[in-house]
Amino acid sequence: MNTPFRMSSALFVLCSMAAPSFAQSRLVNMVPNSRSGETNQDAEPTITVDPNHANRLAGSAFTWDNLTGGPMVTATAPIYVSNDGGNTWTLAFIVPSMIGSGFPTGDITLSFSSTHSGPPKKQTSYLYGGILRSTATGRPMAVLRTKNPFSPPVMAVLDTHTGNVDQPHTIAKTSAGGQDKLYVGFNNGYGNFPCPPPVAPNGRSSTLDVSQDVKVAAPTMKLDVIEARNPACQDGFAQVPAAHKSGTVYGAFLHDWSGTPRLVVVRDDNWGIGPSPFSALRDPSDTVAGRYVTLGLTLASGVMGQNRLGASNVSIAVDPNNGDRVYVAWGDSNGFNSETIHVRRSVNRGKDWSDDLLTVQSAMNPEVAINDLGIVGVLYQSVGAGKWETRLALSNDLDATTFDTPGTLLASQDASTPIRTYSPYIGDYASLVASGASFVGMFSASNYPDKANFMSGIKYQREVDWTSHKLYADAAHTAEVAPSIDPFFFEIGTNACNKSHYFCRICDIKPTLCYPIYDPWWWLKCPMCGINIYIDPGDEFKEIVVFDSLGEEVGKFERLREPIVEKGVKYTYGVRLELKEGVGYVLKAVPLEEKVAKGTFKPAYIVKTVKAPTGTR
Amino acid sequence: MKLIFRNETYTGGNEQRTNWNLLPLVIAVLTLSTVITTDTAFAQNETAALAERSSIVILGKILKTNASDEPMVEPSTQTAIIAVQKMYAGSEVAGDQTGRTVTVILSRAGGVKVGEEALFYGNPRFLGTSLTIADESEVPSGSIGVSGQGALERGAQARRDKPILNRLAAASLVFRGSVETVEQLALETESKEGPRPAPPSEHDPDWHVAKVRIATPLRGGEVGQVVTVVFPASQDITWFNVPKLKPGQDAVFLVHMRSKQEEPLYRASGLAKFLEKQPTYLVTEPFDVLPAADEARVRGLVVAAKERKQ
Repeated sequence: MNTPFRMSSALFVLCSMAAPSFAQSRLVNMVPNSRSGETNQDAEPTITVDPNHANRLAGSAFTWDNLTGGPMVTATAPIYVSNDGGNTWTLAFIVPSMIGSGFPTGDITLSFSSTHSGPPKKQTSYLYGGILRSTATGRPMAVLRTKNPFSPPVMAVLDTHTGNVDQPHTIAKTSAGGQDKLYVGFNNGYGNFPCPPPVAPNGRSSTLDVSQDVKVAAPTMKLDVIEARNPACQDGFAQVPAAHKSGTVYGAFLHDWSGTPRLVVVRDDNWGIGPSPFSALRDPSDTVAGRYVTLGLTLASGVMGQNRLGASNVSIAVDPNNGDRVYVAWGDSNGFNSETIHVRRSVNRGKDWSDDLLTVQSAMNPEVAINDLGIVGVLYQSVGAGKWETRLALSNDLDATTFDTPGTLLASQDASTPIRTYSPYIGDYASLVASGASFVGMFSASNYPDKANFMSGIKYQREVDWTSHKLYADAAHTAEVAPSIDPFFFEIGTNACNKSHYFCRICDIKPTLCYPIYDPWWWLKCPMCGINIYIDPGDEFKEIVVFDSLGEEVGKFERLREPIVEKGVKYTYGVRLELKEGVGYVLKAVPLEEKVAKGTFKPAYIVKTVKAPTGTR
Repeated sequence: MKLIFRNETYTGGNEQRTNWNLLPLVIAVLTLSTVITTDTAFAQNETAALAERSSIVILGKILKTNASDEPMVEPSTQTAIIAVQKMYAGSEVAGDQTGRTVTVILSRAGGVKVGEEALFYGNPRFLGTSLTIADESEVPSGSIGVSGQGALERGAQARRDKPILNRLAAASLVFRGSVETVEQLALETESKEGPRPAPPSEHDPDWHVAKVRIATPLRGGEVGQVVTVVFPASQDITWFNVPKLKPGQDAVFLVHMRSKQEEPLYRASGLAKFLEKQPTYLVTEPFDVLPAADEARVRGLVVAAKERKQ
């Protein structure tokens, strides 16, 4: 059984590159040292990770080109970029804005694709954005692109839509064919006031601005209205897309914002191509495209912890390993001046939905993401005892249905200071994405410097005296700066421990060499069946042992007589397992003695259900 | 390096009497003098134009060529690190950088040498551990005299005036006046008993109506005339930097009438019907209202804008 694997290690190397080089928990104030004098209210952040180079990140917030949030003094607004995994951040002035504008951009969201670009030495990937742009007249929604956010050129404007537009939410995904698919959800036609009549035809304001290959010189952009019913006036402000590598694309929005609001999920099974895009999912109640996830909601209103409520908290995420598994999060009223957030999921492509898996009162800005291990993260910000608390709750079971509530505390700051200079105080949304086995996020909070108020290891780039709890504009600490709202970056690593405490014991020495897998459908579809798991483990390991979530060793991978090839991937080792209800598995890699395995063990794998529960290949 | 300022001056001779033999020389001298004057004027205009295009103007000394302090910027023949000796413009971006180093992406490769002093006209590109600017141009600092400094200041002022000129172009009425009353706009859907209906957007302007008496007309209007001015009282990100009017406020107003481009905004925010009923002016941008102390400045810009138009 100790025959070493001797096969191409290309996949493993790729996986190692894609994973962050470190997976520890980190929290960093993103304001660069050279901006130590700034007092801006850097609210409403978003973050994206380059899928090809996980150490390269880009983030955005309402960040001005000047230190005080006054009218713009240049024609470019900055975004935050990092090329060392988020340890240090730099402002890159690459977003089009306007001298004299009162704001750098309105709402802004960013997303990397997986298409390489940039010069060889600084290879990066295309970055796309959706913004409400500062212009001389109005604030149109604009779609942006840069080949390289780490280089000076200003982002190119690819598409513009004027009128009553709001909240562009941007997702880019590169297809197997190398096309950069882009989905910018936005509200295209809120109002009138009074209403009716609505601005958008039949009140259908939920829209995606879609390109089937946005990296080409002059990409074609197409508007897909994803609301198929007729709201009295308009939909909610956020229309949030989520794309899976298989071509499955979901969208979530609040239907009929000013009437009887309900959370709706739409789906397309082929990237949104075709005459009737985003109509694959129909509600059984009316057979109209768009599945209702909730009954009628009472939406949040008023102000909580100086932050306004009611600007549509909606989030959606699809499992990167399984396009059928999709989670949504949203907020509704918890009485005037308070909000409650909810998380639900579907395991059958949005057809059926669970009840709440997570409910948190006095909370807003829920952001959901699913990482490569199938672990679900929920970032949220809540008010309690006069403090804004920002937390990341992670699922802690095989099936990702329970959460370690209230979750890891990232920041706990006074909710009444600093005083709000504009709305939103911390933002109408925060941001969470998965990167390999990690969760990477960005949130806005008071920068009042007290280490007791942050997760351990908090790091400021700006000038700070932690002892006296003061901020300074200069290295000599002669010019004191008042606290303000800053953007914070965090990374929280996960491993098999997050799936089962038995896995935790089995994998305690090097958890990154353990890869947990589980799917309730294995058992639900055929209780008497077994499964064959096929993998391509790479040549770094001498054996792969399988343990179940009861703590038992249940098998070892053996070389197949004939490799199995599916979708271009060659699987060379396999194991057959007997199924038990609610039992999952962890694949534990044993590295070759003469080699030290670096990075994360994340084999390409497929699972096939077989009728005979026992036996070998 | 691009040489813009030329300090050479021709003082002429001491000849007292006319010497026709010297006529060709005199003509040559006069021609050269004219050329130099024209050149100097040209250089000053170019300095002003550069300053107008540049949000950052730094007097600095080249410490290293082919170098960069910013990890995002690859060192090349087009990059240099400078020690900042003085900031003429741009301290709003990252504070006064005097005494610090700045990475410069030069307007053209090479052409600067270690130890040289120059004026760097540019715009911010990166702000990390230090500032990086992308240059519009570099000019030897030795060439800047009093007139050059004047040109630089003229350009910087033109840059500061640009947003005001933009608003003057949109304005229908420009005056100094005082705010007499302010009240929230009554929306058509409001009933006396019920609560104010929720606006259709979190970016709702929360329109307020002010009555403003004209004290000094600067373009249009009459002394003593009272005009209706609508402004957004909202603290939303898109509106909070737009001036909020208060009773008793003495200010310069650059107000505009209903515009086609803003129609979606009026419809979304319930203003459209109000605008149909009475002549109303609007304040929708940060530079639509300026401090009373800016009256002379605005008066000058009104004249300049008119001349430019002609």
